[in-house]
Amino acid sequence: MFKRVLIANRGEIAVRLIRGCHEMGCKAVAVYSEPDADALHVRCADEAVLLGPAAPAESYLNFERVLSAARETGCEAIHPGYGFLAENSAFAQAVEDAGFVWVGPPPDAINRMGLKVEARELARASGAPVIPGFENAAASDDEFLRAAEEVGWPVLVKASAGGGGKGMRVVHEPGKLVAALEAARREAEKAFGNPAVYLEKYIERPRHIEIQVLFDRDGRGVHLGERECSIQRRHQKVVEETPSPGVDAELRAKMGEAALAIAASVGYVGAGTVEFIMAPDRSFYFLEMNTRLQVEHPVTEMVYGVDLVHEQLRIASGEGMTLKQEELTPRGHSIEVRVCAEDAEANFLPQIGRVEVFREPGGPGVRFDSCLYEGWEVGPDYDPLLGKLIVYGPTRGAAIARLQTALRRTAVLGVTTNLPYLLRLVGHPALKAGELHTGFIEEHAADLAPPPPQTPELIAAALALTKPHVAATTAVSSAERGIPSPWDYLGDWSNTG
Amino acid sequence: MKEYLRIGGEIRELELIERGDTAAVQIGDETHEVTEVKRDGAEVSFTFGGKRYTYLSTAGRRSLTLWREGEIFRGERVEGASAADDASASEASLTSQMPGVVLKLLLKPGAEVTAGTPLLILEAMKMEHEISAPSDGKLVAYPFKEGDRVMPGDLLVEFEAASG
Repeated sequence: MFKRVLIANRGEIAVRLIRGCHEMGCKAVAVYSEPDADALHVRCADEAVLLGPAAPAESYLNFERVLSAARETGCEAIHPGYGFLAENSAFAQAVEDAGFVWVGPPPDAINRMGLKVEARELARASGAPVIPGFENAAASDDEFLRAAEEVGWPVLVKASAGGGGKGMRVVHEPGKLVAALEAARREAEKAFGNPAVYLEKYIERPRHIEIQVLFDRDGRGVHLGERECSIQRRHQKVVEETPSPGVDAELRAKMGEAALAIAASVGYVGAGTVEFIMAPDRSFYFLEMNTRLQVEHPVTEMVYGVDLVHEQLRIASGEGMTLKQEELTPRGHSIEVRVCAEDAEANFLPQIGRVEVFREPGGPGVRFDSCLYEGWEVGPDYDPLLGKLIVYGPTRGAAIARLQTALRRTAVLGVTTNLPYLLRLVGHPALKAGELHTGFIEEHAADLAPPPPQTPELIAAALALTKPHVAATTAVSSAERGIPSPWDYLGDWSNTG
Repeated sequence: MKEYLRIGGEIRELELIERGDTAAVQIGDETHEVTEVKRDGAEVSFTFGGKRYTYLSTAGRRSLTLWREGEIFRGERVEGASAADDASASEASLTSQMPGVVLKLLLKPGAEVTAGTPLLILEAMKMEHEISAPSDGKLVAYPFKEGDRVMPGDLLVEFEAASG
């Protein structure tokens, strides 16, 4: 095992990785940007090295600074976490060239899976299903029509150069295809300067199901079942769980094999995730492979009793696979929600502020991976994920009830979070019934709105307003300090006003 | 002293008269007796209608947050004079809440729009946020151009609500 590992990340994942290192008996070195000098990961680590200013390019994405931090502190390996440098094959190569161990897959595997067209081809060649479609910019409308008949209705018309939903059209019947192609081409031309469109099978009410895989350096791989991450908002996952209420043992084995074949085709090493979308008839199609640890990895750890970070470190240090596929069976149920500094009542706008009050949930089967502490200043420079509340229960129902209870016990005041929204989401009858699909949040938006305040809340508001109760020592942020105001001693909320 | 709080888009008038650990709280036209009022750090406890309540709270110059068993209530303080003024509510929705960059101006000044029409895209914390019309009305001007940095409190869109 390594003696010293550099964690090239920040936030909750850096804290979680440092814990994993300590549990494996290695020292952990943190890196940080200027605004993160007081971040929790800096405090948990054995040593911390300043990278540079807030801008990621000058700090967390700066190859040279990260490598020299590893050199200065005598680290043997670099763990990238997720995001930032995790799927940067050039960085992975630079790490290896500099003589460090990269806790992740080979640069070539990252690179090939990162090219979406090549990844689809790899999946197809491995025998995994990909979404049937038709791509030929020069094709006539008649050819598109024939292709659509072959793929089956409804179909989705998409801009080849596109993204963000521009130029996208769902077509349910042959009579409307030509008009949709024309409209999509116009939109694509306007948005991307390229009118080329393609066509693929449109999957109604799809589920997002992903398979966790783990490979050692000798190519021995296992899968650790699925995670269902269908509850998303603008393509950001909000709730993740395993096992999926839509997957049984037989389907799990089938999807697991498909995922292993795809990963093996690029000589994968370490932890990775193969994402699929699943239709209501349970047919599934390859979406992409994430060549890193996922945000939602803890739910897998809870039901398989495997610590994925320990496994990553073991594999990176050259140890062989100790897990056996036939012994990997999920036990019980685990659900995770992402706690973010965002205002659900203001279009999920990211929020900043000082954490004035933080009460963490506890009890058996409750895990809170976060970077929160009282006094921590949530700033505007990075993404708004504050932590992940993960619960375990013997059944799905028990896990949901435990998650609701844990959410009620979690208090974060001083920065607006999505905690109350998560509580409404997790309590929704359709979620309890397992009726999940990627449009869940849009479908149930009206039910997820906050209830109007009741009399006791208004009484509490009157009491809280007219008498100061937040300690006078509460830090007041810079700009407001000099201005005498009757409210200064209450602490500073000017950021949200 | 009367206080005005905007909670969930609605402005509520609150007044507190205290006598020791008993208080009378006036909310709009109704007066509520509350007893055994206790404050300890961020905690506010009281008895109302035979039930005991405890809230965690933080307050600032312009906002107040209350928490109790997973429920959060946020109020924004409004001055008495502007409390009755609806324009301030719509203006708040056109004001930047975060430091960010104006990514895209979606319409031309002078455009007549209906409530909810997207007017501007702001990028903050690596995400795009749509600023939309708070009511039917006219887009008067964009004080910033695309690429400009904005700070919390900056008005992003000058907007005139349709009369009537």
